[in-house]
Amino acid sequence: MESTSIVDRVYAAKGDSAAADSLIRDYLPFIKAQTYKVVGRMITDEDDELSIAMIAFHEAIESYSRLRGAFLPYASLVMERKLIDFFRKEKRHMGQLSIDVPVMENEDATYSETLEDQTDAYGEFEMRDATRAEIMELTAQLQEYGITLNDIADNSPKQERTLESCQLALAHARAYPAIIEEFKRTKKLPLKALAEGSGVERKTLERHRKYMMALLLIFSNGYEIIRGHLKQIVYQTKGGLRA
Amino acid sequence: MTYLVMQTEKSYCIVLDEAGRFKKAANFHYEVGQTLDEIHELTASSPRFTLRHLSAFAATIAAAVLLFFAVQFYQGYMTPFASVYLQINPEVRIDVNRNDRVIGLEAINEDGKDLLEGYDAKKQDLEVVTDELIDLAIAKGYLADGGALTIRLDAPNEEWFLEKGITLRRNLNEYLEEKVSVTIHVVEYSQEEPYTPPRDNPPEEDAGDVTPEPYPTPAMPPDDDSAYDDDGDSDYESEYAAPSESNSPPTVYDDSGYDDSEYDDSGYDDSDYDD
Repeated sequence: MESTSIVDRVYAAKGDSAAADSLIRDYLPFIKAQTYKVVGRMITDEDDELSIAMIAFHEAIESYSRLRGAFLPYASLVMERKLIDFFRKEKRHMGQLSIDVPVMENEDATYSETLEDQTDAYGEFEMRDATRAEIMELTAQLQEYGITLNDIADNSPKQERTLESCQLALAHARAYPAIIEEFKRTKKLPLKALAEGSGVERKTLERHRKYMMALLLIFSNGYEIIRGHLKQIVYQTKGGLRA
Repeated sequence: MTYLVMQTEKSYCIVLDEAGRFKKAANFHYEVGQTLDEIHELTASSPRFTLRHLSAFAATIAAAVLLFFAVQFYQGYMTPFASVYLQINPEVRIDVNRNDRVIGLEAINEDGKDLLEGYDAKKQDLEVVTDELIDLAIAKGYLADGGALTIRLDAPNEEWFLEKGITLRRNLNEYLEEKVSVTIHVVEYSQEEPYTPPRDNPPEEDAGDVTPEPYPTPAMPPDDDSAYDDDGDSDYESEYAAPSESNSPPTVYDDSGYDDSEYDDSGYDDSDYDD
């Protein structure tokens, strides 16, 4: 019979991504073994299949209930299903021409080696470095507000309508910089000003408080690269849409 | 849609999409700051089946059962099942449900409106309503001794017509026994040809206090319908017509008990009959 400790750990890891990650690290040999059963070959840490199996194990933690029986058989089932989905998706890309195949038979040179590299590898490296620095800065600033990126991911709107409401509140805050100033000074989300000014229900903003705080920080100062990435954010106003 | 990797862990990563959503996804050895074209998002593969879900499920089932019975009740109680047309001179239509409860009452003509003025019959039994309407008709002078009363039944089936027709007439005969003497016709409703009561027994001036005679229960239609004509007309009106007075016979009687000893058949040639 399965020990109760793993079930307790699973329940403790629900909604706590750090605890879930720790549990996954501890059960990595099990995850590899189950992946091997499905894939049919040895699995290394670099295999994409292992990444899929780990995220499936994570999903199993989130969706597990004692009513489902023992955890590990349940997790195996979830992993198997997710891996099969992954293979189906990958199959769609099979049969396509690869640039890594030899140009001529009995030759080592591949298509990729014959093509001129148009990318600026050094520029890309610098850009990623700058992006990473910006993200680290944002993560540190969020910690001052007692928020982690995990919190924000869990608090992020799932539905399109809620996302639009949050963007509407953000647009109002950007139109009235005093709101952002008050937020930075008090480190509290000015719910009343945002709700009354944007017309978004206070309850909606309260429910996504941490997410809204992250958005306000991103659009308060700096973070040019992250803001540049948010191309699809449409600044909505009561009168309509303003790009 | 592209995704910016914001954080990486052993089993997952956090990305930011272009619309501003933070998501958790599978980590294919990504690095913070990397931009992705595709992710394998972390999703709850199946919902948690908790006690709360169980309660919600039970509540949904209970609501569905309740709704089912409510609809059944509504259909059974509030949907008109049959209509009874009460025709004196005032004419009214009484709608009843499956339980013979009155769910609608409507005047067909002006006298009908006058008759129904101030009267509310809803949810009462059909027989009570017919009794009360006839009382009203008598009180308002529409029905008197020697008058005629026609009940037309718009029945959903023959069984209901027979059962209700017999019951209504018997009930009215008993109810009117010591009040007035009237002819009661029970016929099947026909919209095309409104029924006109026969006038072969005109009311007599000195009918006195003769009470209606209970009419013998009509026989149910025989299994063999060879005796039925197929002219399309209902024969019930004549079969079920009650006599208005004790000494006035109905239009058609069962003559099985009729004594024809005085019938003169001397002229009949039966010479060919083999004794």
